[in-house]
Amino acid sequence: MRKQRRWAAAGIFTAAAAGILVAGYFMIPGKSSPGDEEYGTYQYHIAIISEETDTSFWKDVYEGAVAAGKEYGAYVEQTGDGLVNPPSIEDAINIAIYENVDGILLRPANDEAIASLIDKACSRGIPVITMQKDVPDSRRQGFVGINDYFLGQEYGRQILKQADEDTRLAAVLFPGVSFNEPSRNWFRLGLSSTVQRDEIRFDFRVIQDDKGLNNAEDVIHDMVVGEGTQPDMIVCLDEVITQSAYQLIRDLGLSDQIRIIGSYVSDEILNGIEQGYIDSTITVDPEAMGRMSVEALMTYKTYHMVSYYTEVDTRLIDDTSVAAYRAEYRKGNGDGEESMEER
Amino acid sequence: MGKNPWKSVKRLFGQSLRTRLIIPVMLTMAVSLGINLLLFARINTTVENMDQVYVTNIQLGELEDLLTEMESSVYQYLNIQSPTALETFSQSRIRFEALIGEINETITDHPARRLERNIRSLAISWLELADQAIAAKQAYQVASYKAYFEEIQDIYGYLLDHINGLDTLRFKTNSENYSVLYQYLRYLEIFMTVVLIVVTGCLTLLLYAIMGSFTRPLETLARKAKEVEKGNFGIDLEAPRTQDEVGTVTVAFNQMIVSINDYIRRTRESLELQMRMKERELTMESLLRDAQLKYYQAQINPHFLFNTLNAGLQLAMMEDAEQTYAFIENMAFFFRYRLRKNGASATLQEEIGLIDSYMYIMNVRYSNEIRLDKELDSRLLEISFPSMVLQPVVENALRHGLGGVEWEKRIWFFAGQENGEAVIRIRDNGVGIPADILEKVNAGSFTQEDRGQDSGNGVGLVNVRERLRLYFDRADVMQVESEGPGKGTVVTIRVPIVRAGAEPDGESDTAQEAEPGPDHDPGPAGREHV
Repeated sequence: MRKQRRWAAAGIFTAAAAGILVAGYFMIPGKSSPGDEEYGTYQYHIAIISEETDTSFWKDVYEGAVAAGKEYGAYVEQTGDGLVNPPSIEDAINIAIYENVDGILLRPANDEAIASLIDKACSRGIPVITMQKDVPDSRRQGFVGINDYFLGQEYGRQILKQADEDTRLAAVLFPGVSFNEPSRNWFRLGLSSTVQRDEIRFDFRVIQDDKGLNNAEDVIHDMVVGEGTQPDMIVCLDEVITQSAYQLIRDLGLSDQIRIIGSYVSDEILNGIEQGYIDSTITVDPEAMGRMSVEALMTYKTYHMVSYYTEVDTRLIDDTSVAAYRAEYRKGNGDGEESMEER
Repeated sequence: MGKNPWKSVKRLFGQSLRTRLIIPVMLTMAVSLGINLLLFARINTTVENMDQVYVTNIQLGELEDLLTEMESSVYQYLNIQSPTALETFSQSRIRFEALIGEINETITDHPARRLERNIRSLAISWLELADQAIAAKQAYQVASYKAYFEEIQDIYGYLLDHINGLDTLRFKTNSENYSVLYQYLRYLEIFMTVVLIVVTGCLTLLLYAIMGSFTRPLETLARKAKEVEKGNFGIDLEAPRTQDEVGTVTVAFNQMIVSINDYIRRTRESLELQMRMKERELTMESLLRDAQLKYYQAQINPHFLFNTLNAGLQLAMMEDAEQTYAFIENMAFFFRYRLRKNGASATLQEEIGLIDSYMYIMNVRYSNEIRLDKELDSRLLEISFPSMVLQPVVENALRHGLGGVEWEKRIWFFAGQENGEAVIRIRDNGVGIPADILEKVNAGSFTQEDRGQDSGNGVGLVNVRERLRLYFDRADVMQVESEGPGKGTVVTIRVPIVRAGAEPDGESDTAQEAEPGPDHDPGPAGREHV
């Protein structure tokens, strides 16, 4: 019996030693980087291109496009991602063309050359879908977003909602990058068709972008404390301008006098709404826009035709809906942030 | 055997101390070796991974060099249409295509593979455009090849950007790998140290246990040996657990203990036997001493008896009672003789005197019923003779031979010489002795039991013969004969003739010397004394 026990102990010991070794062997991270098997393979290669890529709005668009692409077996790649120096939007389109991608999702900048590049891609059989801003005089296969006329109407409705009898001047700040002359005109038309009150004037300004740095703060500062008439309302047509206006008005303590109607959503903008500095913000659903762009492109790939205009609904966020949006935003963005960090 | 694998294992390990020692040591070494091999394997993998940091960069570097060289060649060709440049381009192109061909064209979201694939796509576009540019140049389409060259340069720039991007990504990844590997090496070191310590501890315990199985039987054996050393042979024997050397020693030890115990038992038995014999001897001696004491006590009484008899003798003399006087005188002689000569040497004459006294007493008792006839060779009267020998023979004849006979009781006493020996023959005409008893008497095996209760005065024929034998140191001293019932008995005593005063130590020469003279006084010496 004792002998049996001893041999049993020896057996247990050997097994335990082997177990420790094997467990330890696999416990130690043998490979320091993830293997290929952790990544998916795809049938299609879609390039998604935008002038500015680091806003949360754009990240959401990208996330929506990637998620939709996966459903179609398409890899949506932000062209130029991973390069030491991010390429310009023109270079990005060229790279996509020379990479011979299966399609391009383009959020165009206010650039004359874009149209010809879109045509170059299309001539090489690469379908192009524009997002948010259309390039109507190009051979792009479709546009996903809201057109500037409708957007003008949307903001007009919001101005009417916020305006009171003392409202005299509303400043409209166009980001020069995404609102070219025709865009601005369409917007104005939409706006004025909605706000048909003679006492309310509009002060249209174009915020110039100089390699990522804009002059929004100067323009707003000049408007609110300058020699001219102080606007009662500031309509900001992109995320950065909205944030600039919010910070400035807050810092100057002018929130009682000047209302802000912003565009798009960021954490800071939501804070502004919650604290009452920003009255409302109008945004298109970025994920929906990304998703719908991919759907339009894949529809074209399958049927070689797609409707010219796919409208993405706008959404108004004010102090009544901010909490609900934030909960939704946090959830969606939380996942998004994580996946962005991975890259 | 096949039934119980446990048993076969036991048999395998129970063979020899050497085998049993080697196996755990080998096990220990095997485990240590395994751990070390594993350690080396992991370190090798780690080092290989570290090498990879440089390998990937070298490939990208080569790709970039080739691209630059080709770009330069295309430029030179388009510029000056140099055939050397075209040659260089073609050569580089083969290698470049080979490198590009290695790249997987699967669409993936893997950060590095994605960039690689983009490089591949861009490179293919670059090659196509370069070919078209060269073709346009060869066709002298100046506008076309210039447009192509611009595109080529654009793509070249994108390619370099991508290669740089991939290079950076790889370098970053590999740097991360390196730090992870470094951490891993540290981790591995700690892990292996812990494992080695644990394994060493476990193996030490195992070895301790296994060594214990070797030494435990030895310790038990040593303990038993100590017990034995103290003299305790009654220890419980330990059954051998193994068939190895210790087992053999245990068996031998057990055998030794069994043998020692057996030897002790036999020795004890033999000692006990000796003790018992000694005890018997002592008892006999004690009995003898007791008998002697009684005998000495018995000696006291005759003195009183003699004095009394002497008083009676004087009384008879004063009263002139002659017969009474003679009777008392004979009686006194008889007892004195017996007292004085008890065991001592006498002469034949003295013995005959005793017979006479005895016969006188007996005839007074039995009214002269017994007649004794003597025929004596006077030369033999002085020969040395053991005392108290002849009277018992006569007494024996009176008691057994003539005890119950109806006819005239006669005893013939003869003392003469035959063949140089003294022959004394005492014959009676009594009942004789049956042949079977006679045989026993002559063989000396006639015992007290055979005789029954009648023991007379205690001195039988056997006693007489023994004493004669001891005295004369020869065996054939006495012969009892009888021709059958009613035919009487003859007791013949043959002794060497030894004159009184000489020790009977030889036969022939003493016989010569003992020849008595013819003028020897045949009268009983004892009577004169009385």
